[in-house]
Amino acid sequence: MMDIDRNAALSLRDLRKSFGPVDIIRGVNLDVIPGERHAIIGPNGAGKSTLFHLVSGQLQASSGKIALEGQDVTYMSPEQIYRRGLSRSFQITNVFPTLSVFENVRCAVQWSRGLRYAWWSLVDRRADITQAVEEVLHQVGLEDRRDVLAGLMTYAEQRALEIGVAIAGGGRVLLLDEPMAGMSRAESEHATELIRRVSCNRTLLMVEHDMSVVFSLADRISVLVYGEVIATGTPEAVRADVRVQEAYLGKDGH
Amino acid sequence: MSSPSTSSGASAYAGLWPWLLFAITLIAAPLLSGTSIPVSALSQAAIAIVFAASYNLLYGQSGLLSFGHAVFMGLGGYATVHALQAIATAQLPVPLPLVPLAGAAFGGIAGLAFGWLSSRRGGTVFAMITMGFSELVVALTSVLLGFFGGDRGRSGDRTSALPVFGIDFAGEQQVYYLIAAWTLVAVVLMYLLTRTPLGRIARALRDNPERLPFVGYDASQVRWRMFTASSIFAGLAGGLYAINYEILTPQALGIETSASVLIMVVLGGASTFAGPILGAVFFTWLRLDVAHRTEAWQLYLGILFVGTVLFAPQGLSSVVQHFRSLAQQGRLALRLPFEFARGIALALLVAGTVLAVEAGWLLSQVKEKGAVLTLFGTSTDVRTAPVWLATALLLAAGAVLWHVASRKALDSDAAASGAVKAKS
Repeated sequence: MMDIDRNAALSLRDLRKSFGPVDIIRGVNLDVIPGERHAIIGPNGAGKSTLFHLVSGQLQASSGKIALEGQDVTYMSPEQIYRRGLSRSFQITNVFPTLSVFENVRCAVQWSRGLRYAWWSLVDRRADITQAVEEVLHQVGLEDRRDVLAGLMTYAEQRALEIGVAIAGGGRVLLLDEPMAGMSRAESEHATELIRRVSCNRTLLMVEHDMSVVFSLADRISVLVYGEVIATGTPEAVRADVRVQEAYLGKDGH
Repeated sequence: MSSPSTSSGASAYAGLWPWLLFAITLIAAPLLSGTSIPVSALSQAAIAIVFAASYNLLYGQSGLLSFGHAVFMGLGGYATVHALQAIATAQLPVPLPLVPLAGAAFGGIAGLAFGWLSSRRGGTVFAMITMGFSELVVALTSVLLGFFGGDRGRSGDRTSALPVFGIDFAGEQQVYYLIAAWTLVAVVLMYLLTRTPLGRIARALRDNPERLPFVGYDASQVRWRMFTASSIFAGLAGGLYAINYEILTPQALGIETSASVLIMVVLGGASTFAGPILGAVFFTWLRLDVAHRTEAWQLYLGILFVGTVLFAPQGLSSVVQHFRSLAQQGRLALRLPFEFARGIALALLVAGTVLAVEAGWLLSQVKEKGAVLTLFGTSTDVRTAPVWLATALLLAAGAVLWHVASRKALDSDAAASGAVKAKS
């Protein structure tokens, strides 16, 4: 087995995950180059979300290796992985519904700014924290909604907040799990721009079904079919790949 | 650059008036009460406030349902009684106002220890473990006799501590003011805790524990810290309890006391900081005044609890918030007649419920107590129809009036917003 690539932002080696007798991820090898926007596509049930759960620590791998910037994180807890610079968003909006937009982002800013579990200082008094939160709100275009409870916003706004919470901690590697799921065409164009913006100076790994988004955003694409990566390359190369056409693009009619 | 946290002038102090009101109420309560409310009841209410607010650090602020919170109040109380005894035997020069800190310290240490295990998981597992701990400590009270003193408990003498400026705290009023001062300090500290990074992340934990690791936090660590903080204040409440009653029995840390603090918080409303304070006062009133008037007070408590959970999950604080939001939207004057009608409806429902409970209660023991019910200034035989007719009438009238008033209120809102739209 090849060893992990120490120069990659994210390096997966022979990663496997099974639930009982069912193998979901069957030996994934993947290297994400620092600074690139990398998309993972594949038919339903290919294991894309499971792969994200493994990388972010929500699920534990059955075997194989995951390295984040050369550091083995395979058996770390989600918060340990997060603290090493990997943050993620969720396919189903997963924010703090009865907190305001501002507070949602602030919760995500707190740890990386060193506030941790502090009980001796008032967080409202920290102008640097407030400023950092406002910068994130500006980036995701929610500065007008800062005092609205997250659970009361429109779906598209909640998706934007989801991304805001993911980037607020300053993670260098960003995982976005179907950021466009359930969006209208106009909303998803807007969100594409948002993702382009927030992925500057970051490494982006995203799962997305919307092919126009994938081909316009991604520097490279990996195709996951039945728990294996069958092709990795530039959008053009992947589009031209015969196996990909057979397994995915052709059949699904995209 | 403007920032909301540094805005100066009146708005910076606008948040202070509830605190001023709270402080004035604490100070003025014994003066206003006269003979109808004994000072001891006020002390009891103040202790309940600290206890309930400490419980809400878990329940309302962190989303953790504990069935063993009384353990920490009880242990704090026992520790304080022991401190009083030690002060008496060794003639230690400790002023009484500092003695409740023994309770806070011991409650905190116990919380740190128990929290280590119970905080690993949230939700049902957490609730079950706290209940287990509660049973465990109750069992220990009949084993560790040296510390708990068995069924008869442990007692101490608060006057054995050092007098402060000539005040020996022998009188109930003096001890009330000591308790009230600690209550104010504790409530302010607990409020400030909710504004710290830890307090803010606890609310995030309450909202969505699964997301917490993905903003960098270990949910168990947040739970453990909040558990310990809440135990410190519960221990302080126990310390105040100890200097007030000068005796601690195992009942203080039993499951019934744990249940009562949950009821206080739910009645008052867990989602706001002030809710549990209202709930604690309300509960104390129920336990003292209503229990004095009727044997069926726990039945009333049960009805109230179920009614609150079903119809007003935010408890008493939702009433306050309802009127406040009406006032903020400038609709208070418009809505007042309907709110008044709803008030009458509520009074009818309460009267009907009281009649039903009292008549039913008496009917179940006619042999011992006779069948004549004296209520609302009239006497009737509970075995005859008029009582039950009146009950049904009151309840039906209340329900109908409530329904109609609520409907009309919504209609008037719609009409008002329609008028605004037509104008613009």
